[in-house]
Amino acid sequence: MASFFKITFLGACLLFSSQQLKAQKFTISGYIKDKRTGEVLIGANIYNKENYQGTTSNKYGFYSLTLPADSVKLVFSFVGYQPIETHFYLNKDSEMDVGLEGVVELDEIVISGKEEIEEITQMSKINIPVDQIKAMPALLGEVDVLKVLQLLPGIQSGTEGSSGLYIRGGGPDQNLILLDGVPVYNASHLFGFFSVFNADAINNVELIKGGFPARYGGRLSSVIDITMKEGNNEKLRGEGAIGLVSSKLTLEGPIKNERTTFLFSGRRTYIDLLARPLIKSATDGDEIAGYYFYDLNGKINHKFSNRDRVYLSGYFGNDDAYSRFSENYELDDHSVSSEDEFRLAWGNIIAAARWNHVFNPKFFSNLTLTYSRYRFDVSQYYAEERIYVDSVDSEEESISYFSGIRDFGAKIDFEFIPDPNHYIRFGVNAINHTFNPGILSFQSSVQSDTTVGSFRTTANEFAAYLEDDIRVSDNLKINAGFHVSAFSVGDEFYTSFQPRVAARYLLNNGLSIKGSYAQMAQFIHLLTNSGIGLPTDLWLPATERVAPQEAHQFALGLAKTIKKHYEVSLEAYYKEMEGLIEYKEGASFLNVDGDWQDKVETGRGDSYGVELFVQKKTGKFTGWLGYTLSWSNRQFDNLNFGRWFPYRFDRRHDISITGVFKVNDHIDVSGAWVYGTGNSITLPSSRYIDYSSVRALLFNDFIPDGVKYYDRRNGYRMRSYHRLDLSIGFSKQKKWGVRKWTIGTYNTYSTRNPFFIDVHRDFEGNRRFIQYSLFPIIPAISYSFKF
Amino acid sequence: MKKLLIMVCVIFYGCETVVELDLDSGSPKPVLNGIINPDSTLSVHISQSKYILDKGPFEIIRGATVDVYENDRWLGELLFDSSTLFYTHEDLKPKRGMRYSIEVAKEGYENVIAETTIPVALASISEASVDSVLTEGLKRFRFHVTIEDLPGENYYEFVLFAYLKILEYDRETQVSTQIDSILVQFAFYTEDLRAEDFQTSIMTSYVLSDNLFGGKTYTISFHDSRATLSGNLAHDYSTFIFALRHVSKDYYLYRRSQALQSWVEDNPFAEPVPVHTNIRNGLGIFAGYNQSTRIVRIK
Repeated sequence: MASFFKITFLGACLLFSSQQLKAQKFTISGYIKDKRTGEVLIGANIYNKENYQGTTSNKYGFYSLTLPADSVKLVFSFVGYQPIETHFYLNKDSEMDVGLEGVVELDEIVISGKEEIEEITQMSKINIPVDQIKAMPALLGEVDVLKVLQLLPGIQSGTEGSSGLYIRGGGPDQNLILLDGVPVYNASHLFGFFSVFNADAINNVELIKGGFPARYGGRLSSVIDITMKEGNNEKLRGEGAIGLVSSKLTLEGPIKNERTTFLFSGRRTYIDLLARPLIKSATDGDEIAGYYFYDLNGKINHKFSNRDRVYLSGYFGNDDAYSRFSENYELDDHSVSSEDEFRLAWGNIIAAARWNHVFNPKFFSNLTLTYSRYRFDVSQYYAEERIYVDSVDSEEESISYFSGIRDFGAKIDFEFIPDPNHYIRFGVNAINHTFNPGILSFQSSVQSDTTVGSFRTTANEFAAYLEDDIRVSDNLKINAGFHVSAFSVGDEFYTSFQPRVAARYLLNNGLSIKGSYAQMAQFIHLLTNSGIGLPTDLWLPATERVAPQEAHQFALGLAKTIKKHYEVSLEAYYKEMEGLIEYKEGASFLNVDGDWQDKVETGRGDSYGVELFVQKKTGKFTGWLGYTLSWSNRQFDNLNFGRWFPYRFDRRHDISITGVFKVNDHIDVSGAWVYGTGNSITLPSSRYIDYSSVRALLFNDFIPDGVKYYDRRNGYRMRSYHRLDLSIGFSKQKKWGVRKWTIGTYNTYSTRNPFFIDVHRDFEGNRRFIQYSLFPIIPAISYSFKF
Repeated sequence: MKKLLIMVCVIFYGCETVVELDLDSGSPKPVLNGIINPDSTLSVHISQSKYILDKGPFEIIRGATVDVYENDRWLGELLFDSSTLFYTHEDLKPKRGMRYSIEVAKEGYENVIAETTIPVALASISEASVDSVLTEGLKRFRFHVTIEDLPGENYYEFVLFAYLKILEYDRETQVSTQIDSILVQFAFYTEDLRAEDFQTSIMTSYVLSDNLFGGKTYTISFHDSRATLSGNLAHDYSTFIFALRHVSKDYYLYRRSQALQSWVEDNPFAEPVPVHTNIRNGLGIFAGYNQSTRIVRIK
């Protein structure tokens, strides 16, 4: 009996070891960086030429590729960088950090470094290289990430000049805008004309508008994931610009050694500083008024070891419009001094602490703690002092209105890459929200103090997800998973289970067919009726009376890379949304009286369309062509008499053509042309007499105003929008670095694009439609430098 | 805020463009206005809408055939009265609980059809009183009304009437003498109701739903906001007549939306408000009410 066990054990050991030998695999892992700056490369391609297996680096530059023990020929590549190829025999787990060197793309030989579009399972995802964003022409020379995103198919810009994004028929609140993993609630400066993102501080911009992987949640329409630079780990470097509107400076470098790096970036407008002396002299020094915005970005990274890294990042930005007026004068029996001050301010504070830990070459984790705060304040203060011979009278009054949202969050994400056929991600997160939905406070020395408006509300949001990127065969890849989330507010507890699936099938001719389904839930709402992204828009929680938003999106598409340089994708989508909110007819944020829940209606919407995108990311000429044909509608039981109506930004045709041409080492030229069907607006088409005025018709000389008749909500289309922007840059190498002059024009052929239309009545009672436009041709010049 | 928005435009561009818009100015729509109640003869006003930019008067539609039905039974034809500009029939008075339909036929228009029911139940005022306070040196009245809410979903209109004296001034004696009086609606306001319950631009009546009352008695106080009179008119403070109208839902929605449209006219951030109508193939309102009153005499 004993010998039987011995033989069996020996046999089992032999069998096991032989199978082990046959299937033995090892993992190569590490980080991919820019060799010159040490900045991580997100989405770089790692590819084994021997067996056609590969992977891409994650958003921290980490990659992991498990291959059978064998000879490998690894190629590391990234757009705009010289690829590296390395040959070795893989017989143990290996750590390999790789630095890629940037190349000057004066010819067409540089290969595309990212996984080609037809290979990727994820659809509806777009990456725009930051260098390309910075090369695009910009309003007043201010490079703007969000405005460049507006030039992509499926993404609409709202009104002229605004940096709001309306993605596949969704509202601006349905975009999850992340800066280093932290949600940004109001991403605009100057009433939406500029975004809060300073392009000099950004490493990567990724936009997903459909087929959302399970790791993303909390919004219906898109994820805009912006990653800040980590800071140069070789030496102190800097870049900056002096423009017509603002100036900015970015510094980055190592602290003591290359294990710790920092980045600091600041930007400020200075119209107020220039105008202040003029206003003061014009008002005998009694009045000061102005407007400015600024933002500061900072980031510190420390590498404890190849397994542990810590990142601390922050953003602080504010817009401030102010006026102060003071006067002193003498009357018969007393003197008076008064002070009147008005202030309108809004801004975000964002902070994140992240810890990357590599458990083993196949298992990566990231812990993130976040803080995000958006606050809008309007205040007015008045004080008057009357000085008599024997007494002093004084009075003070202040009125302030504020609204905002504040989040504390924590999340942990894991990535497990057991072999090239699976890329498993899972994680959990929690956010504590505090909402201030518009509070008006009045304080006075002569009247009783009053506070009106909606009260502060807190809510907790939880989510967990699991997804796997599965390589079923060389042709078929699937990304499947689920996202579960919950929201607790007051006594209400909402839950949501959201399945996600995306697949791509690669045909033999290099064309891939892609399909996806994503269910999304959103527990917070943005209440807005300005349509131009004013800071007065209110963030609000789902409540017992106002349910969360939900969406189902289906997408089907084709993708192919043509002649190595042209990525072509054609996608069709259909999206249904529920739980949308709108102000009740006639309600507006100007009326702060009462509960916000009494001012809103809930309804649903749908959107569908087709998007064509042809992008060239490499070579002397880069750019893209985007075309969108789309429909977007809304239905609310208590709006428009319950009938469906077009969404305000329902845009039938949307075209954008952009290009950057690098003439030589010193000159680059860029241009962008956009065309869009006009926005939908509600205008009265006729007037008729109301019941209370009918008797007035007996008097011939009296013509009552009557009632305005609207055919339907958003039933009229403004004129179509089109614009051409051009820019030319002249660079020169100096002893200290590179300087660049950029000259550009916004709206080059000066189209009077419609901003809004109003019915105007003159003193004689004649009515006319007046169209207001914003920007004619706006020239811009800026000086930038890099050292 | 509208000025702010226009100022932003002017700062950036200073660009106003008068534009011709391709709005459907098409054919004018017939407009039927008729508020009927058991205390008055049945009459409606029929006019037509005009293009939004047109300056001229609203045109009355004459020569239309206006048939009235009570619970689907033909009741009679209303005839045009050129002195009032209404279509009317002096023998027809609506009855409580009855459904009335109007059909207007006129060449060039589709037949206009509307329907309403006079509420059955009579809403009642259980108590009404008047007192006064001195505000900024002026004697101002306060009116207190207790309403008995009816069961179910109900809509009310509250109206206050008072007399105006018509005076004749004698230059020689320099004394004014009352020669007549007229009953008019008296202007008032209240702080007891939330804005969305009553919002109206006409301060001489409030329309409200009974959401707030919950089927019970409810007391509302109103404040006097009468205008100062001049010339040959003077207020007569001896008698106030409180009227509580039990109105149809269509009437409530019409009045509320009309008032709201007027309220937000100069607010560019407020969504435009379409006015409710229950007129098929046309615009306007055809609605009914019944009314109970209470008289308070001031000694």
